[in-house]
Amino acid sequence: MRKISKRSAVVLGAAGVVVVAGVAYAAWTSSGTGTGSVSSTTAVNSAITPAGSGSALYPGGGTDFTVTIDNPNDYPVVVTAISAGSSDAVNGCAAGTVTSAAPSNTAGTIAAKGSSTYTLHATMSSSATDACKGQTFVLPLTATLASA
Amino acid sequence: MSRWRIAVPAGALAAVVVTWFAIGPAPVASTANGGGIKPFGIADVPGRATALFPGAAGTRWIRLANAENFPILVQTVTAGVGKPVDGRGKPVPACPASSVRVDALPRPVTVPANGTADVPLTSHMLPGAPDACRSVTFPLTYTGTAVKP
Repeated sequence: MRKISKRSAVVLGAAGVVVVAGVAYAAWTSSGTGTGSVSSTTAVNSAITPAGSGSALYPGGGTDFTVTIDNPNDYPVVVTAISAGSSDAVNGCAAGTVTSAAPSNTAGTIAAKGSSTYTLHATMSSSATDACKGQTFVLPLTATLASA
Repeated sequence: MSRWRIAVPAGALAAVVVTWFAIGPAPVASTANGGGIKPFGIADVPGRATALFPGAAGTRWIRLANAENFPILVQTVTAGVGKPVDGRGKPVPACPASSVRVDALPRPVTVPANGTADVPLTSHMLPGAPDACRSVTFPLTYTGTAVKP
């Protein structure tokens, strides 16, 4: 009987240590505060440049040609659209003599600092005049891109 | 018998209490903040942030500053994101603050006595962040907790 009482006393003593230790631990806490910031990057416009001019055109004829779109940004982008194109006037050949339709598929991701090539189709008007012979046609295009 | 059983735990408790105040908080109480630890500082590390874009994760390095003469263990740091401003400091209401989040401190960090520790937090911009979120700055408010190890 006396032996059991001693064990109980030790257990109770140990419990007392735990309680005190817990109180002491809580007393040694601290908090910190501060301010800072994060920023988003600046978007840089891409450029569309001719890559391949295809075969020579004639009235009513068509050819595939290619353009390259670059991505000068630090993040990947996707091309969501490339506009239809219509040629500028050149040396007496009327504007709009050569046109290109907007491509239906511009799938793919352009890596950061990378580029990608897209194929378009150009058509020469059947009413093209003789002034349009031997000319190089420039079709302004606009591409729409979004972060991938 | 009954008197002994009561006397032993009470004696142990008294011994512990006396020991604690003798070697524990007493030497530090004169320099500590109300018997606790002085608040520690949290600030950006200049020039060490990744510019964010939709879907991206970046690193926001922060500096923890300990003004105590003993090490502290910083256990938590969280960052609240405020409404963004443009390059001229004007609000950009079309870009919600929820476009960006910053992860909490991933693990406890020990900051040396009267010293600093630089640690990285991971920041994220949501994939659907609108165009208005380009070239803006999101203010952060840091809060954290620490203990004496």
